[in-house]
Amino acid sequence: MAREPEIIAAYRKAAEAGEMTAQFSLGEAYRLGQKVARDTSEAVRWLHRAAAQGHPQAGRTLQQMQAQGIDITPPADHPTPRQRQSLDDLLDSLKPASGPEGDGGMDAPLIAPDADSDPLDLDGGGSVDVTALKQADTPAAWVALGNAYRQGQGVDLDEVEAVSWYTKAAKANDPHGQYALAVMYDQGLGVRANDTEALRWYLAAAKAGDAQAQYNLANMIRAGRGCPADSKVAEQWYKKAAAQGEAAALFSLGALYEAGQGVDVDPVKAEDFYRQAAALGVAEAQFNLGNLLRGRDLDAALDFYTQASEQGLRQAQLNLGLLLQDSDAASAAYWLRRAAKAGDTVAMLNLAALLITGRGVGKDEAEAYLWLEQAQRHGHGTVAAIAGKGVTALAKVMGEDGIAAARRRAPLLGLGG
Amino acid sequence: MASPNVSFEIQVMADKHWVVAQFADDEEKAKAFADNLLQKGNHAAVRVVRDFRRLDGLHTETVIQEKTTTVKAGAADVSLSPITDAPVCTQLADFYGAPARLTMGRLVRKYLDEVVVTPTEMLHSAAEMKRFADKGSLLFSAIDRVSTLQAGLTGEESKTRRDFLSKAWDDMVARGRKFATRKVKAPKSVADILAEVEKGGEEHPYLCLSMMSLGLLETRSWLGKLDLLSKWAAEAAGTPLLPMIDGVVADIVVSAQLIQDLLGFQSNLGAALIQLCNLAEGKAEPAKFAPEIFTNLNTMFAAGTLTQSKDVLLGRVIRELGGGNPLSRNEPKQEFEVFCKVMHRVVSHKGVLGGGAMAEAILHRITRIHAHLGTVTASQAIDLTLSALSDHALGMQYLLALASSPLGQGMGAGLTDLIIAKVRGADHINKWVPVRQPPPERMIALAVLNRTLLASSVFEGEIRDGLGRHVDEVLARYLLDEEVIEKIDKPDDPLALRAIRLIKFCGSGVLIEGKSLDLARSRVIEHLRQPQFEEKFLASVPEPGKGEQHLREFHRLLVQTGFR
Repeated sequence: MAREPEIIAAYRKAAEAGEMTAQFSLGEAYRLGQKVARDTSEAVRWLHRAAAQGHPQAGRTLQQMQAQGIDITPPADHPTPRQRQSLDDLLDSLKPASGPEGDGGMDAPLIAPDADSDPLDLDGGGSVDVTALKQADTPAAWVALGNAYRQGQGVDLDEVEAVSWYTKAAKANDPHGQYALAVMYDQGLGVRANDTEALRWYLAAAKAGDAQAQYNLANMIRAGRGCPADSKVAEQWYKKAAAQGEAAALFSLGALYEAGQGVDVDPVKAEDFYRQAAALGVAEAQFNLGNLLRGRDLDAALDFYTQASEQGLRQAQLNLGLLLQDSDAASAAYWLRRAAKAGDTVAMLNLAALLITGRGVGKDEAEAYLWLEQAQRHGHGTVAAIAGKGVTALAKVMGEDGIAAARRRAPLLGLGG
Repeated sequence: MASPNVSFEIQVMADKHWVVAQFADDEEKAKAFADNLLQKGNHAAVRVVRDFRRLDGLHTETVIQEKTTTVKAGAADVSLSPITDAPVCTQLADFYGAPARLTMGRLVRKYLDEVVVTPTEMLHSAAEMKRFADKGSLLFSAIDRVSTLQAGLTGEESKTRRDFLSKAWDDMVARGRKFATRKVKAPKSVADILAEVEKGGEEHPYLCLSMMSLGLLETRSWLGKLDLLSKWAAEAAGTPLLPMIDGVVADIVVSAQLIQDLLGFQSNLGAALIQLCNLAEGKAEPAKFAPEIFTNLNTMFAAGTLTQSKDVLLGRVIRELGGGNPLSRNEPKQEFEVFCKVMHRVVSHKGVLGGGAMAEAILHRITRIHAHLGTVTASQAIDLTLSALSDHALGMQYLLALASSPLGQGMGAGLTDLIIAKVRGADHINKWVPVRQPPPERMIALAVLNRTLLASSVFEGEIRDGLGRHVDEVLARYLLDEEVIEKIDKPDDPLALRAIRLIKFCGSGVLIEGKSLDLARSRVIEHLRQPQFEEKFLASVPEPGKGEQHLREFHRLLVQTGFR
């Protein structure tokens, strides 16, 4: 007897391994008697297995066979070799859920859950109907088209094409189009970066009342990009944007008055603007407020530092950690650790000090050593020097074995060795 | 006549591989078939392969035609989505229930998003069921997929299960057709729905949902349907329609597409998950570009009307948090910080929002964040999680939630021993909750933890009671050390004020039934036992004529807080 054709053998191998398409193809081969002897029961068997995995054609083919009077009852599921349980598997399955050493499975690596079949996609759902937008042929639609091309929603990403749609809308006096075009010139996306053009279109959109354009325009004027720097004029545009609730503009006004750039230094006004921005959740404003208030109202300063720290602002985490060291060492250790994990070398030093003395945290020289080593590696000047001294001193106490054991713990601390 | 030794395969390009689409025994037929396939535009390339069986039995294959084209973008993908479990329905009513509908919502998500129809609408409309059944082999595949999963659970043969599901589908179609013969107009209001239901002829819930579906099917957008449901919810206050409205909202909020539109602008996935939690608890502020319906929905969640929908939203948070998409895609360096924010939104002193499943998701996420450092074991992931939580009380709430999950149960004694050691190791309130937290918050943290411990099925008997007692003792020590009761019961204040303040303190829930509550109670009893308490109480009330009223209030509070 001739051996099984190569393609059938390949299908069979893949089909038995659970490959849906191969199961379907093998079923079809048996159904049609192509390259193998026609065998409807084998066809039914493989088509059912393909259908069970969701093969779109398999179910339909089975229905067709049924319509032709063929019995499509699936044969009793005799397990494939893959499914057959070996003695070892059987013994494994009889073991208790907890590990053999009574470690409760705590030392086993975690197995990630299956990927969600319908995950959130915040970067662009692809639900943009480009054809409809082109038909709409209005400035708003042109801006939407520009957005679609810029973000690759419903079309291939094409920043040059985005610029052309934004330009069309901007020239038709659409403020959103003007703002979007200005951003493209500002950041050099799809077009050569050009401060003068960016300024021109920000100004057009700002005059039309677009808060973000007013804010970006103010930033350009303050920095002297595309025009001579003029903090006074910048302040006016910040105020216009701030009046519309633009949080970043409120923060910038606070910073202007705190530093006295082009305006008289005015801590009261600075604090007021920072407070407004902080209430809208600007972490930098919360941090600056903490700095302003630290000398006269420590509790309020700590509250603002906490708010900024919870938002992930590393500087605030460091300041909070340093300020809490005496009154609440446990919280100090927590915030210093967060800042240290984010790469702050001063936080690493201070955390190491808490770990060595066991204040607010369990005494742990090995962990302190790892943080000092990091601070020495990534820090500069004094920080690196102090950390270096600490590393040397601890190394003497811990010995080589102690250091090796500490290094093995590095991943546990989120440190890369 | 074609040679028996020659055959033709028509192959199509699928996922960068050639896959046989059809066999033919005639070259012309094969080429025609290939051209036809190519014209449909579903495949980038199609080819015909001639197969010749030689006399020695070996085969020779020759590509005789290969053509390429561009794939049509318009053809919507409505294939099934993977599911790993499917709750077993035993009677027809189960198919209309929440678990079945939610499973359908996940399995045929692409189809439902394409036609913008909820499972509820589909199951109550003969026309929609027909449309679905006509969509290629989708129905057949769906039944097959579910029956295979369920056969594994029930121990039945998958064919038996498949037959049962097919029969149930036919029954539902027949029921839908029967309703269609009533030829009812789509309802404009809840009154229209109730009026039709009053006529009878079917079970009330079925009729209600059929009427609702009739109205909802006229709107082919998720947001539009939510608008309509919110309007009905306002009209349906106090009627049995509310849970049904909740059910359909739950069907709708399963869709990722809808959630994206509903949330408006979100800077990253982490922010979106926090917003989803806020919405589920009715505490959200609409974001930029959020549709108007967002505020209405938030109000409904706040009122506690949408319990099924809340579960669906939290289910989404759990899957996304445990999944692989970055929480901070645009600023990868902020991934850990954003994770901390999300984690502190779901883990609070009052417990873990979403329970054990959320605790598992957190563990998976922190494992992913640290995956670049090598394999992370369960115990390392737990340590990393605990060190990322801002205090010990939060850590214990987290561990207790984790211990109640399947993953935690699988960890066995390793996890329970850890909890016992961590609880016993913290003997002062400063080790549990930061000093700077307001005193009520600190006390609530311990009181709630005590209740969580005692309600937990993780520990039994003396161990559980002992852990609860330990937390109680920490709180009692705090009351004594900080002289909390003395601060409430100031000797210079009028007796009436002191007594009412004390009794309110006892009933506020910040104390633990045991040592700490006894401390406060014994002070109340001290007052009560003094001679002529009531006279002194009345005399101490500064506002004339209000004494009796305050005394009555005091007695009411006494009863309420368990004094006899």
